[in-house]
Amino acid sequence: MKAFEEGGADQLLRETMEGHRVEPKRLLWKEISRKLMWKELLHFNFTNLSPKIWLAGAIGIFLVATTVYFGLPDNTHDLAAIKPAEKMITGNSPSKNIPALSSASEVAKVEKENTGTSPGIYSPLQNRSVEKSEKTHFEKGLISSLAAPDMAMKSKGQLSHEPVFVAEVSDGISKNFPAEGDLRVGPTISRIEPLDASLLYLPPGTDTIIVIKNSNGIFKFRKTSPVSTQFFSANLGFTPEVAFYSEPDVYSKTNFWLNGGATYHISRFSVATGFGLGYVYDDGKYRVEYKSNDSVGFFTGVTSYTIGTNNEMIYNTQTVNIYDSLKHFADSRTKNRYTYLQVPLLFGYRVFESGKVSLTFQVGPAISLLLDSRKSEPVIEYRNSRIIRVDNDTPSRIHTNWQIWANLYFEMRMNKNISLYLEPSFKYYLRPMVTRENISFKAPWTIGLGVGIQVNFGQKTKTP
Amino acid sequence: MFEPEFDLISRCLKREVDAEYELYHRFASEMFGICMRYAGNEMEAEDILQNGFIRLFCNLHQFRFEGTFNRWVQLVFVNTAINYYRSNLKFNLEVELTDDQADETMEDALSILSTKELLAMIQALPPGYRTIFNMFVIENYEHKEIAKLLGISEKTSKSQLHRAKNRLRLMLKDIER
Repeated sequence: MKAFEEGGADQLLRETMEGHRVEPKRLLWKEISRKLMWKELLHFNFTNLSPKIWLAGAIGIFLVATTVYFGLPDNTHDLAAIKPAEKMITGNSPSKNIPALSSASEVAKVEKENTGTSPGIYSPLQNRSVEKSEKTHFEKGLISSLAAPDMAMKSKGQLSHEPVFVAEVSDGISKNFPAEGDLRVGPTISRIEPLDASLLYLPPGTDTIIVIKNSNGIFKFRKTSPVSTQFFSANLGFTPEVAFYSEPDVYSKTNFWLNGGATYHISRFSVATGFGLGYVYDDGKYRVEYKSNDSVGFFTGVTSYTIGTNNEMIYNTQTVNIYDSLKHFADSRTKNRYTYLQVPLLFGYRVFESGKVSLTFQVGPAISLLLDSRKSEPVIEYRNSRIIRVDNDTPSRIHTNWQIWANLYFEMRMNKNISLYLEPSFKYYLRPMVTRENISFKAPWTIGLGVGIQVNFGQKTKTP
Repeated sequence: MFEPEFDLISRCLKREVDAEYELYHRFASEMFGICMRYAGNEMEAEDILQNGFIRLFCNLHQFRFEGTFNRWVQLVFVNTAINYYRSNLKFNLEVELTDDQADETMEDALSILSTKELLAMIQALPPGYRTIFNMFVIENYEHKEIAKLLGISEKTSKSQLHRAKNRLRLMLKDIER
């Protein structure tokens, strides 16, 4: 900047205008504060978000979830309501004439008109027989997986979703349909394996027809609209976890979490949220400077002397310690307890389901909020010393942090509504948990193992 | 820097709303004075003040505790004001520079004006004149620095200042009449 070299008008103007104050309107701060809040939100910093907004958000999510859940059309099949004339077979409720296919069942030839691999189920064509000219070749393996598994699994009571598969057999054909386990006819028998139920699905389109033909008859299945099973579940559990820190010190800590959550399931997919309330213990670090009187050396002092028999001098001595006031530094540690609240939003996919056991992979973000800090005061007592100063070297805890969660959720069904779960989890923090000037910290990661109970309710099958 | 200010900045860095308000309260009127000088009217000054405080809070971590905090805050607001008008600043290069012969006359006239009247005169200057006038006369920047900050030549800076002063002289003459 230039020096105050020119005088006159410039100087006068500068002196007059410099430091001139004008009071802004009071509402300006509100506007600035609001803009700052949005800036923070855009950077995923929710520290200053008012409780009203949190509450409004929670109510909003609840309302949307409730509306979605209860607002969707409920086309749950009620088998009892189906006209008696329309004979139905289901996996777990075989009719007299039309038994369910079991995994042991085998069919001879299979033909189809259209095939595919995406969601859908089959219902049979009514009163339509298949001409021989209609045949198109259909891979045995695919028809096996298409026709049988869900029925087979349902017949064993392994599938939880009911009904997943509804089939009707043309009149005349069903008459001679053999009893279960008696389908072994013809030279080209393909085994129907209890494969993954997802292979049952075909692309949308009501014209998709599958024909299963054996010497006892022709069975036609028409694809209908997709079916999804939707239900809520709530869980409560406990998770011990080990957190690993790598910088500036390498160490690990054990944390404990009480978890609760709600999950909305749609077929194999799920969305879960909830809370994790946890206690995290960490050391409080203090650097203590004190002075004490310490021995810094010694000398041999003469206390008396005597004359010996040969007139020699005999000195009586003793060792005398020398003390001085010395400055010392020492580290003092305390135990601090921090209470955190974690709110995850996890997206899941059930990768495996068999009988009473299922495995779901979940991944998603979670926000971690520091709710409370309980810090112990250091008790510093050094004998014969004087405390000069105590510096708190404990890094400050960050109030808001984000994590990425990845879980494997093993569920074991005890009955229709109650399950137990085991949940190995991995969490990665996006920012370090602590901060301190001139010290670089790395974000920690954790592994944990959650156990708990899950309650399922509101289960229903929907065909939009 | 005295300890309470250090503490206040630290709290602001932690995004504590109370601390942010305290900092705002401490600097608002002084910074609004600066904004008024650079702005053409009160509404524009309010916009600059808002932008300035948002910029201040978002860049607080860049303050290295070297020099006074007050001066750093002033620089933030001056830069915000410059940025606000940067796109609207138009400079006329063709001007012949003359000595400020009438400086003494101007001094006499200025001395009888109140701060409010002076502010109104400065606000009445076109944005380009006003910006350079403020930077050179009040903020005490050199032409070289002004040229660098505004992306213009030193000659342009000098010419705009000259024009601004001439315009002010004319205004003062009108007032004297």
